[in-house]
Order: sequence, then C-alpha cells, then structure tokens
Amino acid sequence: MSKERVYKKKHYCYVTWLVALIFISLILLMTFTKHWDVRINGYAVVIVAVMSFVTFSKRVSENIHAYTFLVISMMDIALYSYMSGDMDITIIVLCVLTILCSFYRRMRCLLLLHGMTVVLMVVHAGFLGSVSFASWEEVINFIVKMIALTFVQVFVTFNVYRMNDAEKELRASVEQARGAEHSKSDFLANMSHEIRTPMNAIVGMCELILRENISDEVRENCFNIQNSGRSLLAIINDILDFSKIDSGKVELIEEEFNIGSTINDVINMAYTRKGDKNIEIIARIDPTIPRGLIGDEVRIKQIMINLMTNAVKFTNKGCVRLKVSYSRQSYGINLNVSVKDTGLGITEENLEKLFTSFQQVDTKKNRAVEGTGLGLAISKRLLTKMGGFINVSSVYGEGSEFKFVIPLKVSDASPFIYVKEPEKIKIAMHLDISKYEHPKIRIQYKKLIDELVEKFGVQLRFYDNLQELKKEALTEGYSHCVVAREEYCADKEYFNELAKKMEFLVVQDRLNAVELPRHVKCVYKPFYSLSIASVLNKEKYIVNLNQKNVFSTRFTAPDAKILIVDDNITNLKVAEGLMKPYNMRIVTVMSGRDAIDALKTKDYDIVFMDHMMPEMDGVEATALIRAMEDEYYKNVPIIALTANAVNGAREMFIREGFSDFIAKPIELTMLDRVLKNWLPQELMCSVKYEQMQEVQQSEVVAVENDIFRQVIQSEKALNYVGGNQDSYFEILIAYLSRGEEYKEALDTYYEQKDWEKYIVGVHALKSSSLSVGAEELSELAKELELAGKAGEYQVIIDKHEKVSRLYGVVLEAIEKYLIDNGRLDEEPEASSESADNEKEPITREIFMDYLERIKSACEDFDEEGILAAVEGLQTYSLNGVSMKKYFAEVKKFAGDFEYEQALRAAEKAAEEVMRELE
Amino acid sequence: MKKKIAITSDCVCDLPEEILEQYGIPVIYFYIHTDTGCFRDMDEMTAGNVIEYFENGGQFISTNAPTPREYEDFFAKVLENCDELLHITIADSLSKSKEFATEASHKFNGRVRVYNSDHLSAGIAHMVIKAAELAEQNLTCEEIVNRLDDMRDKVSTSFIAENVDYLYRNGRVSKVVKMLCTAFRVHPVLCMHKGEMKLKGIRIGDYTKAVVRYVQGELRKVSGIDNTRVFITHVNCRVKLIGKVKDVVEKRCRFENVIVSSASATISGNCGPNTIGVLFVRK
Repeated sequence: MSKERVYKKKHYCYVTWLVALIFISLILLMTFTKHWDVRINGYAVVIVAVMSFVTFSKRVSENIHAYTFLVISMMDIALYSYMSGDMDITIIVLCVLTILCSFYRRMRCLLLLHGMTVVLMVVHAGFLGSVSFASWEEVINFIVKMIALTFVQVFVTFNVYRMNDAEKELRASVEQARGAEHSKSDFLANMSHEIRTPMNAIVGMCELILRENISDEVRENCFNIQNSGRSLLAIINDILDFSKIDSGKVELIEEEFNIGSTINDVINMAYTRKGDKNIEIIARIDPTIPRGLIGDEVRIKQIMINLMTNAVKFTNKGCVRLKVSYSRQSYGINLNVSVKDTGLGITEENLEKLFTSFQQVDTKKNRAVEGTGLGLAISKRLLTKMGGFINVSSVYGEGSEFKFVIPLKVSDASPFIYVKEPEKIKIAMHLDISKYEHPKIRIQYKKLIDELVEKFGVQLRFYDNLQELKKEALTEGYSHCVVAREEYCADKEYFNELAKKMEFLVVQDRLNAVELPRHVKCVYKPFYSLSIASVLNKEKYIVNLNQKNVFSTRFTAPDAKILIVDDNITNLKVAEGLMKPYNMRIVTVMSGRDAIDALKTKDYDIVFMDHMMPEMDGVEATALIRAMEDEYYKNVPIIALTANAVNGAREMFIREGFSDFIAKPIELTMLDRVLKNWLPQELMCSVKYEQMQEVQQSEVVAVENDIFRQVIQSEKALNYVGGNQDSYFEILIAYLSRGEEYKEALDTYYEQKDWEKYIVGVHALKSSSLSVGAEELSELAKELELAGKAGEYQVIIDKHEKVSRLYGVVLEAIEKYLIDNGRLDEEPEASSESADNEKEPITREIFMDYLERIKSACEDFDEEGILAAVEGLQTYSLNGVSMKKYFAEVKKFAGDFEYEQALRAAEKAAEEVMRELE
Repeated sequence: MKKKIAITSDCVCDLPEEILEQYGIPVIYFYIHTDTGCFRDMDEMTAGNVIEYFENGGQFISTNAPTPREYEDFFAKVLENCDELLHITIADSLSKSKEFATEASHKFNGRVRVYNSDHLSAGIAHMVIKAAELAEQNLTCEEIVNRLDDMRDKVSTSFIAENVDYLYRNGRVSKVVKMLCTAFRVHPVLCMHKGEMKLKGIRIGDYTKAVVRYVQGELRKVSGIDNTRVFITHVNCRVKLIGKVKDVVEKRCRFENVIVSSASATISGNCGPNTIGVLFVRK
C-alpha cells in the first residue's frame, strides 16, 4: 500500500472518531437536559449522517466501518433504552443489531454487543424497573424474551464463528495450493535443466558437425536440426516464463536482429509441423524489410511460430499463408505479420474467448489437435508488452487470419535481401497453378510471384503451358528458368537440355523430391524471397543471418588461457569445440574443486564455470575463488554457464560473484560477445572477417569433367575453404604445380627403397590429397604410410604402382579441370614452339626492367608483384624460346611464399638470360 | 480498364473490406498514436485494440488524419487508374482530414475533388456507397456532388455509448457529468447534426434494454426510412448484443441489406467499448 493511501486512511479514521466523539458529547449533554423527545429528530439526522459518511466512504477499512457502526448503534440503543424504559423494543432492536453486526463477521463486535445486552438487561431489571415479576405470566414472559434474545445472539455468533472457521480453512487451502504451485514451478525449473542438458548437447553437436566437411544436404539437415532444437528450447523457456508473463513480470531483451533469419526459422518449424499433410505453406515476405531491427527476436519468433503452427494444426486442406511486411514510422518501422489459413475457422462466439489461457476453442471438433491452449494467451500478452497488437478475423468453415503488429527500431535500413544486378535477370517460370484445386492457393501463388517481380525488379514471364515455354525458352533471352517438380517430371529430357543453356531451378517438396542432375539446381518449398534471392545471387549455403560466423570467427586470441569447468564431458567437448576457432589455450576441469586448484597458477584470463555441479557447484566455487587472498581472484572474469537461463538470471549470477553468464546451449554470437567483453584487448588479434564473409558467399560454378568427378570429391574439399570456389582453384593449382615433382620423387624413393623418405612423401601426399578432395588417393597414401611405419614394406611394394598410377590420374584430372574452367592455359606441346616463335623478342633494357621489378617484389614479399612481372615477361621470347621457361621456378617459389628462394631463382635465371643475350 | 471517376474515402467510414472490394473504393488510413508507437487505423490497430490498450493501463492515445503529403501520394496512386477522383471525408468539425485532403488536391489540377460528408463512421459509408453507385452510372463529378448534397441531411448517424468514461477521457464531458452518469447508469446517445457531434438524448438503466430502446426510438417512423441498407456499427460489442440489435432492426424495418461493421479505432478511442449505432438514410 502506498504511503499516501495509508495517510488518507488514517486521516479518515481520525475524522470518523472525531465525529463520533462530538456526537457522544452532544448526546450526553442532552441526556442531562432530559428533553429526549424534542431532540430526537436532531439525533436521528446526526446518526444517519455519521453512519452514511462511514458506510459509503470507500476509503476507510472494514474494521472502521464495523466499529463505528457498532459504537454509534449501541450508544443509540443505550440512550433510547434508558430514556424510554421500553424493554420489549430494546430486545427487538438488539436482535436486529446482532444480525446486522454479523454481516461484518467480527467476533469482537458481537462479543461487545453481548456485553452491552447484559448491561442493558441488568439496568432494565435492576434500576429502571421496566421488568415486572409480579405474576408468573410476567416472569415467563421475561424468560421467553430472554431465551429468544439469547438464541438469536448465540445462533448468530455460532454462525459467524463457523463462517470464520471456514474462511480459515479456505485460506489454508489457498496457501496449500500456492505451495503446490511453487512446487510445480520448482519441478518445472528442475525439469527444464534436465531437458536443457541433452538439448544443449544436440544443438552444440550440430554446431560442431556444421564445421566438419559434410555435404550440402547433411549441412542443411543439420542446420534444420539445430534450428528446431533451438525452437524446442524456446518452448521450454515459454513454459518456464509463463507465470512471469501472467504476472506481467516478463523481461524483454532488445537486441539487433535480422528478420530473414527469424522468418527462415519460422518457416522451417512450420514445415516440420506440416509433415505429410497435403497443404501448401506459402510465404509472402517483403524483401525490403530493413536488415537491422532492434527488438526481442526470440519473443517475436515465438509468436510467429505459435501462429504458424496453430494454422498448420487446424488446416487439413488448402494453404497456410505467412505474410510479413512493414510500414515506416518516425521511430523505425511497424512490423506487420499475418498468418492466414483455409482451415476450420472460428465461430464468432469462440473468437471472444480465443485469447484466454488454457482454452482451445471448439474442443469437440479439435479433439485430435494437440496443444496447451496457452499459445495465443502468451502471444497476446507478449505483444502487449512489446507495445504491439494482435487481431483475428475468421469465417467459420472457411479459415482464419491472425495479424499482429510490433513497433520496432531500425539499426540498418538497407533491405534484408536483394538481388544483385536485377536488370540482368530474366526468368521464364513454368508453374501450372491449375493443378491446385483450392482457389486460394492459386490466388496466393499469383500474388507471391507478382510481389517477387515487383520487389526484386527482375523480369519474369509466366508460362501456364509447356508448349508455349518450349517455343520461347531460347529466343527470348532468358537467364533463368524456374519450374515446379511436377512440370519438370513431365519432360525431364527437355528441361535437362535447357538447363545446360541457362540457370535452371526446380521448385520441389523435400518429402517427395526427385533426384536432379548436377547442373540442375533445386529450391525447396516453400520458395520465397530469401530462398529465391539466394539462388539468383548464386549463394550456395543457407546462411544463418543472425549468426554470421557459422564458419569463421572475428578474432583469435592465441595467448589467451581459458579454463572451462563442467561436470559433463559432452558439455566440455561442445564448449571446447566452440572455442577452438578462437585459437585460445583451453584447459578443462570437471569440478569446482579442480577449478580452484587450477586457478592457483593465476594465469587464466577467463573462467567458464557451469553453475550446477555435484559436490561443489559453480556458485560455491566462485564464492571461494572470490574470497581468496589476491587481487587476481577478485577480478578474474568468471562466466557462468547455465541451462537455467530464466529471465533475471544475469542479475542473480552477478549477485553470486560471477562476471557474466552464457545460456546453454552456447551460441557463437553469445560466446563472441562475452569473449570480446572480457578478454584483455591486447590478447585479441582481429581477422578480416568481412573479407572472409564475402568470399564465402560468392560462388563460381565450376564445370567438372568425368574423370575429375570419379577421383575427386570436390564438395568435401570445398567445405574446407568455406565453400569458396576461387580458393579451391588456388589449392588445386598449388597441388598440380608440385604434383609431377612429388610424383617423380616418390617413384625415385621407391626405386631406391629409401623407405624413410618414402614414408614422409606418402604422409604429405595423404594430407595434400585430402585437402583437394582426392579421398581414394589419400586413403591409399595413409595405408602406405601406416604400413611403412609398421615396417611392412611388402604392402608398399604391392601398392606403390597403384598409388603412382592414381596420382597420375588425379593430376591429369585436375589439370583438365583447371583448363576447362579457364584457370590454366592450355598449351599443346606441339604448338608451343611455334607460339613462342610468334612472341616479341626481348631486349636487354626490357629484361632489366622486368628483373628489377621481380627483385624488388621479392624483397617486399609481394607475391602478386612477382607473378605480375613474370606474366609480363611471358609475352616475350629469347631466341625463339618463351621467357616463361626461364622464370617458371620463380613463379613456383613465389606461389609458395618462398621469397628468398624466388629471388635466388630469379638471379640464376637472369644469369642465363644475360648469357644468351650476350 | 481506366475508370472515369474513382470514389475514395477515409478509413473511418468503417466500410467492411468486402464492400470496399466490391465497389473498388480505396481508403486512406488514419493514425493512432499510443505510448508505444503509431499505428494505421483498421489495418494495424482495431477498435478492440484500443479498448485493450486502455484496459492494460495505457494512458495516452491520439488520432491523426494523414498528412497532406500522404494524401498526395494516395491520390496520385488512385489517379493512375482513373480520370477524376472524388474523396469523401469525415466531418471537418471532427478531423483535419478535409483540410489536408483539400490542400493535397490542389496539386492535381482539378482532377481531385474533396467532399465533406459532415458525418462519421457508417454515416460516411452510406454516402460513399451512393457515390460509387452513381459513378458506375457514369454521372459526372458535379452531378454526384449535387446528389450527395441532397443526401447529406438525410443520413442518420447516431450511437449509444455504454458510459461516458471515454468521452471524459477525451475531455468531451466534465468530471461532475461523468460521476452523475456513472451513479445513475446514464447511457448517452450521440448524433451528428449539421456536421457537429451533439448529445441527442440519454437512456438510463440496464444497457441491453437501453440499446433496444435506442434502436426502437431511431427506427420509429419506418415509412420515412430508405430501406436499401442499414449499418449496425459497433465498438467491440458482444455477439449477443449485436444479435439482439439485429433482431430489433429486422423486426422494425425490412431493410434489404443489414451490414454489421466494426467501428474504426479512431471512433472507438472516443466512444469506448460496447458503443453501438444504427445508421441509415431517411427518404
């Protein structure tokens, strides 16, 4: 209760008692005058006024009401009784007063009244003489009256006692229920920990798998597992948070986020929920939504997932359409999300109770549908908290539409997705929408395509029938062709041929996807702005836009020493794996006690501590560390790792002596933030992150020949370089340039039976072959290396020829592959001489100029400078021989960053050339 | 095909989406400012949302007509598909919409004409539908305006509000009036008269009974009522109450079309929940 309210209450209390005091004084004064009959009207007015004031005033407590009423009424009866001497009326009034008093349910009031009754009766019988005992009738009359009065008073008192007792019991029950609720909350909290730990492992392990050399398909599936795992964790959080949401104590975490990632997650989740239901999920996403929004992404996603999964649950035919758009405002944007379905619909009566907790409307019809019934209530409360609104409209039997709006601030106004060079893109789309029986699906697909064309600014021609497409496909200058799976299957041969002439995309369902040739690309349903733009921009991977560093980190800290404390070995492995890219020195221990021992060396820069461990938990260990005598222990950053990341956890951990906390499963963005905050600045070395990101996203589509495909698994090798084709070409060139030399060396070692050098050779071959994707060769090399180390030279003798032959094939395939992709000049031996003859003869001045440039570039460790100068020299010849031959070695050393050797090679070549020139 | 005359209006005309689509009437959104943001009326924030907002402790709300610049963009977009445009606004005594729209119309060399309906809510809707029907009959803009002038005083726009809390909140009634109205369960009946909002009368007692009496009172001279269509426009009313009003309306007068529409957030912000009106045209 506020101070002001207490003050007011006291104030009214004083006024009431003051009025009562004045009234009592007046009555006493008038009593002595013995003019009761004359003054009675005045008394009545005062009594009514005081009682009204007290009774109708809502600001005084019930106690004051009760006692004021009782005191004034008793004074009145006492006076009346004394003045009139009429005991019968007194008894009746006392009975009425007892009943009235019982409404206040105050035992003390009743007892006071009983006391007053006794006094009055004694006064009447003893002093006023209003009771006559002259005859038996009068005595009996008096006894009956007394019994009646006593009966009323006892009955009422007993009744009040019983009611108070019942109330006490009720209160006890409420307390018990509250206790049970508390236990339930505790249970939920413990359960959440139990569920979160394995979920942590699942999500964390997915993160580790994503870093491995896995195929695109596995990567995408793994990505989906990870996203779904995160969503499941979010659901667990929802259950935990519900009580807080209900009591309005929910805390929103406003952070910058990218809506593209949110939408991707929502669609994936809804698609998973859809399963094999024969419905279409259509996503109409405005690609011009600002890239950087500030808000509680988790909550927004939670609401979107809730609406989408509800729509999928209640729709058995037709479609579920997600529309995300925005309107600009002075403070940022209003994000508008609408989920429309062609499901069961909701009756008008049910619409009214739709947002009530624990209610699933139309329960008879929806018996088969699972759900807590909390979703919409949570969504509405969250939206209210975020300053937004939700609306629903529905036609029973036709479907419903849920719309919500949230005001959000904007940190980056550029569109979250766009098509690069849209003017160069002309798409022929063949999609027979008449195959969809439901008219709303047809309408929605039409709208989706129109919006994509309008927002991306690309040209698109829609073909309803195949014949028309066939007629115009090659004559209209299309850069892309998009067809649906069914249409593709209708004439696979034609489309496979067409795919060789333009970018060709097949839109298909994951569940019944057809296998496509390598040159035909696939877009999985639901296709929408993000997936289409990714394909048009030739971006290979689905990038988690919020978690940009899926493959790379922004900095490394090779000198930083990190201690991770967790009792669970899986969690330790996950944490260690996640921190690996930072190149830090990591030490792991499995208990709080070990952590304290480890910290005695005082050389850890950060401690990551699980807060819940057997024997000594994180909180206790932290308290002990902080209590240790040295400034180091007071300041060393201790980061809590917790699976119990409920709202308000940060404050709790900081109170316990931790410096910060990370919720499990650890997410890279979170880890990155914490490391940046707590690692000493001097220990961090920045990595050119943006450059890495750029190269990861650009992709050159390479043409592969048959032999290459047989001996090299390029996809796996591409994963080592973050999917960047250019980097892969560079690795292949390096592999090829030394290939012949290594092969000859290996053969020589074999012939000379120099096993020691041979083992070193195959060891190098093993790792280098694996890095280009020549797995079979790498495996064989590994086998020979192991055999060599074990002294089983016979194995080498048996298999060397095979390895040597395969090595040759691999080198040949790589050479052809590089030539096919324009990365290596094709120089037929026969014509090279004539070509050299056609080159301009070099003069001494020109040569000296180039030589100077090469030498200077070598001194500056400038690889590009060396290569450029050597390239320049190649346009000249010396006595009919290309200059390239003199400087091939220089180029090779420069490629290996061996600048000293490159300089020596250049000097040696220069001597030869000068000799020739002279 | 390009239209000769397009009819447009403010979103506060409270026309349901199906009718807007049927007649091809574009509407421009008003804005509702709350403590947390600014929302487009009807599209982003509905009447129900306004009520929720206050129930959840919201303190501040204000409504705004679109700016002249927004009117300009709106007119320009509509004019891509028509030669002339007639924009029908809410009464100028209630909003600056007429002023801003007129300012914007000057940029279009007489191709845009702005007409003050002198009504609000479905009162405008009656005039908008009439104008759309007349435009379909290829009448000129001048002729349509003349017909609307004849119609203006015949439109009956009235509402009954459950209480005066929202009117008090917006400063339209004093604290004493509010206290008396609350104490005696007074339900005010408001109407539009000559472009001004007036108190038409009061109903006392149970709200459902008061609403029924209000509807019966409004439709008492059946012979003088044009029975083409009637709007039952409400602010977040319970289905039962709407059903009751519909029954009474249908019993009193055989309207060809009984259209139930939800009032815009702008109107609900001024009248409060459970406000309901029967809006029709007299002969």
